[in-house]
Formats: sequence, structure tokens, C-alpha cells
Amino acid sequence: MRFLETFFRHRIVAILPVVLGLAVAAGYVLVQPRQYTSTASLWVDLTVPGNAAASAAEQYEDPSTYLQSQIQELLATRSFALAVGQSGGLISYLQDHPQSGASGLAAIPGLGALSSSGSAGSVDDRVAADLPNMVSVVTAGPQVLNLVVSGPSPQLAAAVARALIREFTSQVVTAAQSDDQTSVSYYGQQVAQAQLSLQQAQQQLTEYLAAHPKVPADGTGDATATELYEAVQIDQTSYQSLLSQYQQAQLDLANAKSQSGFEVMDAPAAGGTAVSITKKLVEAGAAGLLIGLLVSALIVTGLTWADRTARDAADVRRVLGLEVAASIEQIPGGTVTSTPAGET
Amino acid sequence: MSTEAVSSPRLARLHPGARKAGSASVSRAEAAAQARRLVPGELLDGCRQALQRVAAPGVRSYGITSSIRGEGRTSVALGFALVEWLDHERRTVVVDLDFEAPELHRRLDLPDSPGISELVEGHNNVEDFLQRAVGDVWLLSAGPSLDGDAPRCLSRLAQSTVMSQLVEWADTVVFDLPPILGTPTGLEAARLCGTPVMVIRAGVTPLARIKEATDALPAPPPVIVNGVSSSVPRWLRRMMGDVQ
Repeated sequence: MRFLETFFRHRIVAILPVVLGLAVAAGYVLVQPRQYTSTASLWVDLTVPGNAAASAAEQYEDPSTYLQSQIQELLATRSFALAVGQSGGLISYLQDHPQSGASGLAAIPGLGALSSSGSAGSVDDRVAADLPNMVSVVTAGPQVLNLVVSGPSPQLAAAVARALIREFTSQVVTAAQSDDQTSVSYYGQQVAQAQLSLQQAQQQLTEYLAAHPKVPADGTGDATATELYEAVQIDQTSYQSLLSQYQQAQLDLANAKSQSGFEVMDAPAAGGTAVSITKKLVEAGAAGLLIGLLVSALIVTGLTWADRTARDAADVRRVLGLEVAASIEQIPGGTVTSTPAGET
Repeated sequence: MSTEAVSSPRLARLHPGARKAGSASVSRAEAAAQARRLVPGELLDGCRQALQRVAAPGVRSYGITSSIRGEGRTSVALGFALVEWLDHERRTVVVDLDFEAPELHRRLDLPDSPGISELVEGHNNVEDFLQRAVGDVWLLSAGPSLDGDAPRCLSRLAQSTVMSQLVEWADTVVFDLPPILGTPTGLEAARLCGTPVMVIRAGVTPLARIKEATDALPAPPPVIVNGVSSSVPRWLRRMMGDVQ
């Protein structure tokens, strides 16, 4: 009750932060450059590492979620962001329009120099800092991933979206090719060793059979011949297995370019839609309102805490232990209403 | 300010020297109406309740004081005096002892002279220095400005027979005292009168200052809390269970 009393006594001071918060939020949104979005949908069809469970129900991560995290990780790297910026024309756009890319505080006249994302840094710095904020990666389901790219023009947004898909594909293929090449090299060595081991075992068996012509080819009835025969069989099996894996690795390497793990269902179009200013106003207004309410609550709490006056008869009795003969609502002037001492 | 030849039996005891500020005669009803215009009725109700609580057999004087200035002391003093006359037909003198910032005469639209500062300079009768405020309520003003000589004036008042004359002449004496803190005469003035009553302005006077003032008095005074009107809307207070 004391808190409310302070609020209503200092209602202008209490309400001012809320009004200011709303005004600043609205002003902030209104000075931002117009934004357009371009959306692409990807069908994700890949095997998620670690998802070797027997059924899909036991999988703990959707393919689209896995791909989403991969894209977001890459977006946070400078080299990937610059590659996308270069390929999508964002860098050249910013070079041609040094002020148009300014957003956030940098978009407010006079504050550009104070903002780290303003035009004070190089274009590369701006691209590396701004690109992650321009791209939203949203899962639409277990297999579908949406890429939403915003930009100062619909053409640029679409170009950046296409570049993002292209560069990501390149990254995935390069990584896959590297893995497959390693597998091919590894299995190639293993096959060569297995082949050598098989040849040696076969030679030993042949020599033994030549020295013992009465012994049958499978070594039946002769312990040494049987042992040599079994060794040949084991090496043969091992060789065949490794050869199969080697061939699979070669096949994977050959197909790596077409194994990005996703397909573009809806390609980004240049006729992107403008970001609704109403929606941004509502979002910023809500944030401004929240911050204003917080500041207001802090101010009222501070005022309440700092108020060391007697507010009513109860305060006088409780704190000072004095007998209250009467309480008068207000003198002089205004509406004056007395109340019995015991009722306040 | 008009004077009256009221048909109250008590007025028969009026000292012939009592100063009259006018010559027009008014009825008691008219005087009562005048009195009610001087202060809001709600303030009178508050003073009435306070008097019911602090009144005791033999108590004939009240000193209205406060911790600091601006707490509604003069209004309450005037309210006490008017209630004493309106409700009980007691001849009441309201005495302005706030020599540094006398206010009562302005409220009553009366001149500041004659007053106590002149009264204590010689062997004078109190009755010659009274001004009729309204009905049977009389003002003894502080007098012309004392230019920082308030302590000496108060000291002379304490040594004189003025206080005993007042008590003898009037049924009730209400003193408008200076605040306890921040004035050189506040505490001494409070000690002169019988029953000090402290006015506290809610939301203005710090509790520490109130405590400092009450601790300086010989005994904890009864209190009138002024300005307790809540800024919170009534519907909200009702919702919070703060009002019936």
C-alpha cells in the first residue's frame, strides 16, 4: 500500500519512464532503414552424426535442427560471412552505399560515430558484424528449414540468400570431400596390406602342397596344410571386406558434390516482402514498455525506501508510540474530511 | 470583523474593557455561521474529535504545536477555539505565541496590534489587548514584529501575570505555539501552556524530526495527523482491502 501511495503521489515521475521508453522505442524503429526479406526453404535429408539409433523415434535431433546449428555456426565465422557478403553482393552494395547499411544506433542521426556497427569500421567488419543479424534460420519441421534473409532491398536480400545457400553447400561438399578422401587413402592402404598378406599365405600353401603331393588342396588329413589353408581363407575374407569398403569410399568421393544433405525446395525470390513496420513498432514498443516499467518500479521503490515521513496515524502509533487524537485528511483548502483516529 | 451584542448569558461576564472591532450587532446564529466560514467544517470535526480525546477535568488550556513549520498548527488552533465556543459556549481566547511568524490575526482579518509584545512591556490588563474574532472567541495576537527578540518577550510573558489573567478571564485558552524545532522559543512556549497537542503533516514531516520534537517535551503529546488523504484511488484501496 505504501508503494502504491508513493506511485500515486509521484505519478508524473513514475509514469515518465514508461512514456519515455515507448517514445524512444518508437523513434528507434522509425529511424531504421526499410528492410525487405527473402525466404528460402530447404528439404534436409542427411544422416545426423550420433543418430545411429535403430528407429527414428529414438533420434534426439532432427536433421533440420542439425543443419540449422551448422548454418548458425558458420554465420558466426568471419570468413564464411565475408564469402557470403562477397558472393551475394552485400560488400559491393555497402561500398556503394556507405550510409544505407547503418542500422541500430548507427541509424540515428548523430549517433553513427558512437556505434560500433556504424560506418566507422571497414566494410568487411560491417559485413561480419551485420550478416548474422540479417539471417534467421528457422526450422519448419524435422526435415524443412527456412532461411529468412533481410536486407535494404528485395534484390539484395534474395542475392544474399542465394549466396548463403551456395556458400553453405560449398562448405559442406568441401568438408565431405575431405572426409571421403581420407577414407579412400586409409582403405587403399588397408587393401594393399591385406592383398600382400593374402598373397603370402597363398604362396606358403602352394609351396607346402608342392612338397607334399599326397596332401589334398584343402589340407584334409594334414595339420600343417589345414592351418595354412585356413590362414588363406581368413586373409581372403579380410581382403574382400576391405576392398568393399575401399570401393564404397571411392564411390562416396565421386558422389560428394551431389551429397550436400539438403535440397532447395523454394529458392529465394527477388520479390521479397517489406518487413512490417507495425510489427516492429509493436515489438519495440513492448520492449520500451517493459524497460520503462522496470525503471518506474525502481524509481518508486527508491522513493518509497527513501520516504521517512509519517504517512498516517498507524505510522505515528507504530513508529513513535504516540497517541493519535484525530486524523484530518487535508488542511487548509481542498476537500477536507476528518476521520476518527482509530480508522486510519 | 463585526462585533455582536449576543444574547448569550456568558457574554454578560464580558469585561467592559474587552476590545470590540465593530459596532454592528449580530445574532449568535449569524456569529456561528461566521465561525464556520473561518475554517472548513471537516476541520472542525477533526478538532472536535481531538478535543473529546484530550479533554480532561480541569484542563482549560491547549497548546497547539508541531515539529516544523507548515504542518497546519494555526488552523488547528483556530479550530479548537471555535469548537470550544460553538459546541460548549465557552469563552475562548486564542493566543498567538509564534512571535517570529504570527499568522492568526491574518486568518481572522484583524490587526496585529495590540498584542503580547506590547502587553508584556507594562502592567496592563489582558482584557484591553483582546480582539473579538467571532462570537465569544477572542484573539490575543503576538503583536508587532519583535525583530529577533522573541525569547525575551516569551521570558517576560512567563514572569508576568498574563497567563493567570487569561485563565481567570476565559473558559478556555488555546495557544498557537511556534514549532518545537527551528525556532528559539518553541520548546519554552510549549512548556508555558497546559496541554500541548502536536500537529503532524502526513507525508511531509520526517519521523526522526517528530521524534526529536516529542523527546524534547516533558511528556509525549497527543497528536493530530493532518493530510492523511490517500492519493491511491478509492476503488484500488477497496480492492486492496484498505477501506471498507
